[in-house]
Amino acid sequence: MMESLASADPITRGLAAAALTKGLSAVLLFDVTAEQFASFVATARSILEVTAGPVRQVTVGASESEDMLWGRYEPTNNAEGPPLLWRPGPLNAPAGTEGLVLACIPDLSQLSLPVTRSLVMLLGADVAHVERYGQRARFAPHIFWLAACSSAATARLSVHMLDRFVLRLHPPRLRQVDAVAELLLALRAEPQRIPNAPQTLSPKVEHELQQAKTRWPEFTEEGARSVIAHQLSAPRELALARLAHAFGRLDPDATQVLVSHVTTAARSIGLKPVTEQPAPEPAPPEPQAPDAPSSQKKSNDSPAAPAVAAAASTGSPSVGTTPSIEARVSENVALPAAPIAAASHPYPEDTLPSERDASPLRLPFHRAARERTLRGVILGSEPARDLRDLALVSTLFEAAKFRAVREQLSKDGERPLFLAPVDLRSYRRAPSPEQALVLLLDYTSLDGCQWLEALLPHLKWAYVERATVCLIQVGAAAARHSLRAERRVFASVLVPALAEALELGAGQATPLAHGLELARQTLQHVLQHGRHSAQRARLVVVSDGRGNVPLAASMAGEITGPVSRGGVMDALRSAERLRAIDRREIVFLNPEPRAYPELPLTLARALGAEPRPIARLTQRKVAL
Amino acid sequence: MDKVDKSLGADAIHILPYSRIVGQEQLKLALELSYVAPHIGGALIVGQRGTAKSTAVRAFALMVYGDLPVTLPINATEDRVIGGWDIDALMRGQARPQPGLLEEADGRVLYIDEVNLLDDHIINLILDVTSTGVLSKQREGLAANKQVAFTLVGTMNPEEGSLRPQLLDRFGLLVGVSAEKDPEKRSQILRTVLEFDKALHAVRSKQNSEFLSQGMAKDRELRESLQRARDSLDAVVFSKDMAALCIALAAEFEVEGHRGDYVTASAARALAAIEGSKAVTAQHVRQVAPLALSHRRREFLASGQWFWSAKEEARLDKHVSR
Repeated sequence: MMESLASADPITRGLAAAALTKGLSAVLLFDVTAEQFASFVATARSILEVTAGPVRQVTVGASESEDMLWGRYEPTNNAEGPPLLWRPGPLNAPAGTEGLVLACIPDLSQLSLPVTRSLVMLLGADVAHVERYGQRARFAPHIFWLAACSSAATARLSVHMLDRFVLRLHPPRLRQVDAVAELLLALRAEPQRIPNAPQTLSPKVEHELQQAKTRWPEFTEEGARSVIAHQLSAPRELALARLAHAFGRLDPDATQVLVSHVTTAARSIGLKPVTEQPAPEPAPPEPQAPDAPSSQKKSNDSPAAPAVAAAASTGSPSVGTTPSIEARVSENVALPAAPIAAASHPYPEDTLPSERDASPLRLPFHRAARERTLRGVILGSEPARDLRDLALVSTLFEAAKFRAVREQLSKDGERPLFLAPVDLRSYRRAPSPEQALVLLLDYTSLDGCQWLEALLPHLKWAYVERATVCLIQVGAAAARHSLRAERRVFASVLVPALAEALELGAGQATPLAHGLELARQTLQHVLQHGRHSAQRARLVVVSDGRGNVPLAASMAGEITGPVSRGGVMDALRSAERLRAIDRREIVFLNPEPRAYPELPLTLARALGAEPRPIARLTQRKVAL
Repeated sequence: MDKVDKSLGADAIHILPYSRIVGQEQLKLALELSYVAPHIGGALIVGQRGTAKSTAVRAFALMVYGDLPVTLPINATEDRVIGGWDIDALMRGQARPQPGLLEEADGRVLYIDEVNLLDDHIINLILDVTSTGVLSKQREGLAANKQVAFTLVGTMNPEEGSLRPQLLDRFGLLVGVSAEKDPEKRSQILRTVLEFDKALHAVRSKQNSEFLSQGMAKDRELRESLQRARDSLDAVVFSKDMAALCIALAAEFEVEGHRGDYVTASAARALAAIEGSKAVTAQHVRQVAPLALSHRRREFLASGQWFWSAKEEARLDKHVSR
């Protein structure tokens, strides 16, 4: 049982603040385990039941479709009534439905494209519209969103969607419990005992929340200035202000929202405190609220005193704010339960190298010049243009709508389900790459040649074919292990991280044999594995053939004996194995090195490819 | 469609009053011009999240029409866009057509939020109607043609991709909005939003909000003023010199097609009407030209990157001052 909000962890306090403020009702939890997430969902539900009344919990999973989210027609068993009845989606309940929806997303990074697009429409919106299958609805979304995601995965997600999660929280980084005891307890417990029942709040916490609901402290001029001083984008600035305001509401002694509340709010989401520029003229001391004597007492306490820490944790303000937020932090506003580390940045997508598509929220293009894809993940259904890949259930539903009208035309008085050509529906599918480009780039062989120009036709081919791209990096400067090649996969050539990966400089060693082995495994995988395997692959190898790491050394991660020609010979053997794979085209681009010019030609022969020379840079270009 | 719910329940739709929106003067200007002169063809508003794009459009429609705009969401199915059968009636054996959003928006604003995320197929339907002015329904046993005209207003975040040139051209004006940089203005925005939060808290607690009532009073004044401008539009004199200036500016900025000079002239006239001027001046043309021309330039259409910098402003000044 949670005894008081002051003693609760930062996420629980953040959830309490969000539950009080409609503008904060989209919360993203970073790097939490499934058990932690379930526990925070239970906590959020308990809090929301106090602040908002009845709560209806909905889980939004990876497999949801637009029809499941927004509503669909479902068959009825009533022989006399209509064959289908409209069932609204879980997030757009019909008008008059009581209660707040608590929408839980266990893993934001696993959501399908239709669901992600739906989130963009709903998150933080004043009003949402549904216009589907003859049905329409207009409503103010009354939804509290609680999602989990690894901070690293934000590099792949739409920034537009992430922006809508206004409150970002990290779990406590330091384990406060005995890890051994916790492990032993977990082993004794039933496997399915995940804490998903609503967590009980103590009467004191309920009282704190009830009081906060009625309180509305005003923002001070200094408080607003300190929000602006964080130099955030407009939505983030507003989120910080609202969080500070919510902390002010949770503070029983606060009559105003002060700099200390802003600082507490900033630290609770992991923002580094900033030092505000001195005000143009000396700021007058905050007027002391007559009913807030405890605030002053707290501000005069020693920073190390436990009472101060408790006050800070609830955002209790102090009288006479100083212009420096940093100074304020050092005085009394450190959160006791969870020291915020630099890694707990609330906006990791700002700093991580982008791995997302150029337009991650757009539906796949219809390409008239090419046949409709019959593979790929199902996104929904659409009127059929031919008889392939029919969506049978959708087709029957479509016919059922017209059943009453068509049966009037039936002469024998029976009620068969007539299917007309206009009813036929086929699946709409996400494009599944039909082609793959595997690019083996030996970074140690690129000096002095126009390798990027030579690659361009193949990158263009990958763009036109919407091919998936796999880059095998051999001897790259940033390799995690210099004796090993590395493989990186990109959904398409439009992923910005591909350009960055191509531009890495040369490293110390050339594990060419390992690179060719990775290329072989990749080709086998993309051509032979899974339901969505590619139909054809193009392997482009750029190398001078001077491998200097034997395959065994790459596997072991260390060189144990003399290398001699081991690296070169292993590379040739790997190339011959690679040659045996079907449905692939191999292109060999020869940098034409001055030393050992025969080596790339030998490697090309082993691959069964015609070597194509790469133009050398001119003296002038080299000088530039 | 139901009017906006003004009840006090948690599910009620609440929009910040239009006159309470701080800054974003160009965005407001584009909306007002499109209302005063509907033949301009509406506006596309491009900007990052948090720049009050959607709020401004909804608040404006609420102010001038007393209701939210007819909205085409990105989840819309084809039958709801162009119209189809009333499915519930159909299942009872009654064939009753149901008008779509394009028909419903006739004579009003059709608002598309996240317009760049709209399905290609739906875009094609809109292009058909906006280019011909005729809504053709030939599907599922329906066969009907109807004349429709609506003001197209779209908002989009450029991070999610650009629009096809054909659709872009359907928007009379384009406004690029960005977040305010001036700390004083940002502070003012922050305070306004927090005041609005407070007002909603008061409304939910069944108390009156002066912030809202004052805002709505100012909205009424502005609506009347815009209505006067709309009524007086045809009386505003548009001289040959001004027509020549509009054409020259379109040529100067290498604008594709002829809509650029026409929209510039219409918008300048609407601006003059709003300001109560009897005739369009070069300054009116100067003020609206970026809104009408920027998205029709060849450079923009080739690159997909909208920009209008101080360099373009200087070119405009130089040309207008001749």
